[in-house]
Amino acid sequence: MARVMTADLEKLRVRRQATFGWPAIVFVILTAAATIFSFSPRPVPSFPPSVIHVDRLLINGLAASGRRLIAAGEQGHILIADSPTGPWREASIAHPRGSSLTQVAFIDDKTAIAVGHDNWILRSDDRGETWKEMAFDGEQGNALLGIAGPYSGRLFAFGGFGELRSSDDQGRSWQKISLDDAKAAKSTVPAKPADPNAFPFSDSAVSADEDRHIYGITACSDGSLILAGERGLLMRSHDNGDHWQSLPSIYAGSFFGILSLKNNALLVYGMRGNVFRSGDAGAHWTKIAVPTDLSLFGGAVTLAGEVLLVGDAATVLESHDAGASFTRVAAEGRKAFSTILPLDNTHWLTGGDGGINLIAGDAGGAHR
Amino acid sequence: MKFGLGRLVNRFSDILIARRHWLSIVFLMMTAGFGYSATHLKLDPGFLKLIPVEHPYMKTMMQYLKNFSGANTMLISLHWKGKGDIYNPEFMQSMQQATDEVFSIPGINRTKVSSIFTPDVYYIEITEDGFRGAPVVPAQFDRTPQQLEQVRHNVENSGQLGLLVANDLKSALIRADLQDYDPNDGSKVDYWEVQKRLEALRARFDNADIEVNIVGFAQLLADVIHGLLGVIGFFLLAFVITACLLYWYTRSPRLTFTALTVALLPVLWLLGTLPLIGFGIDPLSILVPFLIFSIGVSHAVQMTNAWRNEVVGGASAVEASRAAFRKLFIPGAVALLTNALGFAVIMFIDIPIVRELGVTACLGVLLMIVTNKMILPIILTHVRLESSSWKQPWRTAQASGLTRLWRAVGKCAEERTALYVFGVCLLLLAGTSLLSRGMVIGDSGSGAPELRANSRYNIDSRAVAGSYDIGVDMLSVIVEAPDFEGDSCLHYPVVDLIDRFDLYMRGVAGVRSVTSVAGIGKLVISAFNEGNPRWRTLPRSEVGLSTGSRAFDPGLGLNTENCRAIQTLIFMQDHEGATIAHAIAEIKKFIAANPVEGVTMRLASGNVGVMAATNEAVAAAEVKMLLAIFGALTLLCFITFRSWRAALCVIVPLTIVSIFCNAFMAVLGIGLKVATLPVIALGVGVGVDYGIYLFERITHYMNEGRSFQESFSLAMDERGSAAVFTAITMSVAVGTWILSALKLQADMGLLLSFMFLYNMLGAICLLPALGAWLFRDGGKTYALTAARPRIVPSSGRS
Repeated sequence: MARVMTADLEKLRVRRQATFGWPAIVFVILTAAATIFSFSPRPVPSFPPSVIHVDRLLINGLAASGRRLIAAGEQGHILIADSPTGPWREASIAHPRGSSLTQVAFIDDKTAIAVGHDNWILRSDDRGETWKEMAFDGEQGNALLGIAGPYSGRLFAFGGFGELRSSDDQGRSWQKISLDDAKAAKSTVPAKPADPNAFPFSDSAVSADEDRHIYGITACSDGSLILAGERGLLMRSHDNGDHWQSLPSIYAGSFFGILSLKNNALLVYGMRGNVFRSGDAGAHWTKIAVPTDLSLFGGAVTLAGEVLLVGDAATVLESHDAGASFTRVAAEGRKAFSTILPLDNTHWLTGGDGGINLIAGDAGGAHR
Repeated sequence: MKFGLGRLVNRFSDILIARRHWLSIVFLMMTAGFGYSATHLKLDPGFLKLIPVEHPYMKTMMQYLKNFSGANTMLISLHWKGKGDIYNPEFMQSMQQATDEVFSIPGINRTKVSSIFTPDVYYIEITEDGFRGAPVVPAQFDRTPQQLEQVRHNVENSGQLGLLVANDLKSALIRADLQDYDPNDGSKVDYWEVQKRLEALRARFDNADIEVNIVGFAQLLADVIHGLLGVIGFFLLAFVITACLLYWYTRSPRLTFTALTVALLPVLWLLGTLPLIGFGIDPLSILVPFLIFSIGVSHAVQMTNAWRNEVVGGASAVEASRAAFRKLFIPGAVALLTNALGFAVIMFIDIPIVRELGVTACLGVLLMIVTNKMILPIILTHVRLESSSWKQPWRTAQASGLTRLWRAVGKCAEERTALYVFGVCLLLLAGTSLLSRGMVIGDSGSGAPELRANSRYNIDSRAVAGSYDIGVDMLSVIVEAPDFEGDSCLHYPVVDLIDRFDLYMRGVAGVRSVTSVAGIGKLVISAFNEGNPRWRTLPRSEVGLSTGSRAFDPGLGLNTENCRAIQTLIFMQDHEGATIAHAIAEIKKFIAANPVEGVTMRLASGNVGVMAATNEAVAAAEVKMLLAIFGALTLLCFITFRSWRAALCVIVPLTIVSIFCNAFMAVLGIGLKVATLPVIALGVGVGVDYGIYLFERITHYMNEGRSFQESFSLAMDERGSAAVFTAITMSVAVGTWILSALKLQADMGLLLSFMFLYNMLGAICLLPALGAWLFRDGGKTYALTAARPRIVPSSGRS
């Protein structure tokens, strides 16, 4: 008993003497803190935020007003920038629909119109910052493939299966125009369903009596309008688009665009490197030999009067003689270009499968 | 119980020594049996072993493994090194023959072999009259110049540039899917046979003008297996080095031989056990024999050292054996149990290959309790110590330098010196904790993580990645739309979701390109409109979408019949852990923000999907595993020494070294992954040995009333040299892995080597410093708080 008490006393004495030193305790606590710090969830390296990359979406339309640039395309995205090298940012669209946009154009300094599939028409009156929906039909709407005008104050939107609309109020309201001259039995089905068992890419040329797609409209110097489209479609209107008459066929394949050049000349271009030029506002046409057999989807005339055509596999054709002859400009890549926008005499912006590309015209090289 | 355990050990030692002849026969027979069984050992690498099968991503992948190739795609690229491009007779002939060869490789899914020579690859030309299309290479192909030009033209119209033909027209690709089970006869595919065929294919077509690059799991596995065979060489190297070190240490050929034999026994037993429990050898578990061998050596050294001390002290071989057994059974068994514990917590990682590593290693150390603690004393009873080795080298005059070193180390147990030790450690700790924050989960680097950056496989994979648009790092997201009427792909909400996802992913950092049914469908629809990109969009009506139905053919491998499940392929720029984690996080954001009724988007397949799941499993296991191992070790130390202060002395240095290890990994750019996650557990599990062996002696001397410093100094005399020796031996043995062709083994070897060395340093420098301040009153309080005689068998001596 006494021994136990002695032991207890000793224990007390020893306790009071501080049996272990604070340095060790501090060390242990610091180690514990360091351990918690070291093994707590580690910082995640930051990545650039997920945004649309201008080189990774399909751009079908480009427009410029002053320094402002607009690009429209895949899934109804509209990108805007104030310099050809970017940065590009997304414009705000009141009702994003997801339908692809096919063309965008400025109709005056501030007002821009964009058109797309499902009869989608968008309008912006603040240089492309915000867009309001003017028309949309998700069930029966045809694809709109382009805008033309204003010609005598009238705008045109045109597209698949003979779709043609006009607007006399700067694109706020749109009226349907029927291509009465070209009418035949209208097909009730917009596209033929494919037979899944057939050879996947067997000949499937649509029947000739179906309404053809309209791919371009331009005004001739005499004030008449001329449109070009699928399977050699060429029509003229003398009453600012109310009535249209077919022109004699010059080509069985499709035209994808038409340009009005100086001196009463017209240039129509389309699939497989087919380019036709008329020196007399469309009365007579000559086939132009071009250095490609790839399809041409877009064209533009620069301020200096040079003619530019773009198409499949990064094709860029340039003409210094008002479309009489073309040379090929080397551009990087194999992606299709669907549109081209001349910025100044030496720089062009292209839009296409590989997004937006800046091309230095004279240098001939492409860079983003 | 406390008295009881000591007595039990004594009783047991008596039985062991008395029945040693009988036991010898039993052990000999067991060894022969295990030896026979070991001949049935098989290599067992396999795709499924490497993936965390329980992870939700992997469940998705497994569910669709039959429909989608998952991650087992093989790419064989023929690269033309000669003049011009691939459109020449020689290259085309090789390409055609190589394609034919690939068809005959066992396990190849013959319906999914693609090259410019397979009939599923055709070109489409849009003409004024409609489409024209046919296979890229005409059926009657004689490689005439006209035909070569025709093929060049066809390839440009096939959309295969960047896919089956390189962007620079210098290479062409054969793409094939390998199945784990042969589709023809249902037998399990023999990867060894596959790799032999690939090797033959490489040998046949590789020449001055053509280079063959093969990437894919089968080739990777083959290269890993080749690396594995190299490991046997390292084992021999480690064996020789260990033998030399042992001889230098013991100066006794007999003891060296004995220790080596006893260390090899558990390896043999283990290799014999594996076939019995249905395990094979894989890239990770092949390392276990090394580890077991070196741990075996370390324990054998402790035992022979104790035995020799007794012999030098005048005991007979038999008595010395008995005494060594009594002294070392408890600390040895505890140390081995902690080893086993360290290996057991590795099983927290939900990946079969790591689980097997854990099981194998755990089994190995448990077997070692028998071989080392029972067989070794029996053998030692037959050993006569050579007179040459009666004196240990460091006890002689020539080793006075070593003695001085021991003195210096002993100073760590002085309170003043201890403060310096604390200071240095805290400085190091501050630096390393900051550095350790930079450690990444997953791979840091490019190519196959298993192999070195300059291995042939990784060179091949860089060559393929550089020439084609498709990468080798692919993540796939599976979209399920089971309840739609007819073909789900003909429902706008389904394909539109995929289309939007496609565009969204193209904007995510780290993504190289995306392939989806929506993207292909739009191309087909545009093709029906003469290829005009303005038509490259998804119509909202079912009739309109059916124009693109060619894109929804299950044969393309992107969807099942009727699009019940559709996969979107996301090709990544690399597979660094951070890049993958970012992409996965962005995908989850998209899924959460875009709910579509009746449609479920599920992660993930593809090799990057596997990596994502693995990284997530590793990340989830890390803290859980560390808590388990440190918690268990603390408890074990507490039970053994009955003192929280003793537990701190042992555990704190281990913790610090773990932080050092993380910092080391961050600095070297080694990520936390399947191969490196077990390192800390292994390193700590093995490293705790030093602390336990030392502290067991320290408590023994403190019980005799000595101060901590004195006790430490005595403990170091008795066991310090053995601890240092074993740490060096083990570091060298695992260090030989650094030479391995397999990066995962090299990384593991480097880190384990580091852990073993630093844990030893921690035990001889930081442990005494902590002890000096935690046991200022020496054994007095220790004796009081821990009170009664310890489980240490010291009572056997008195």
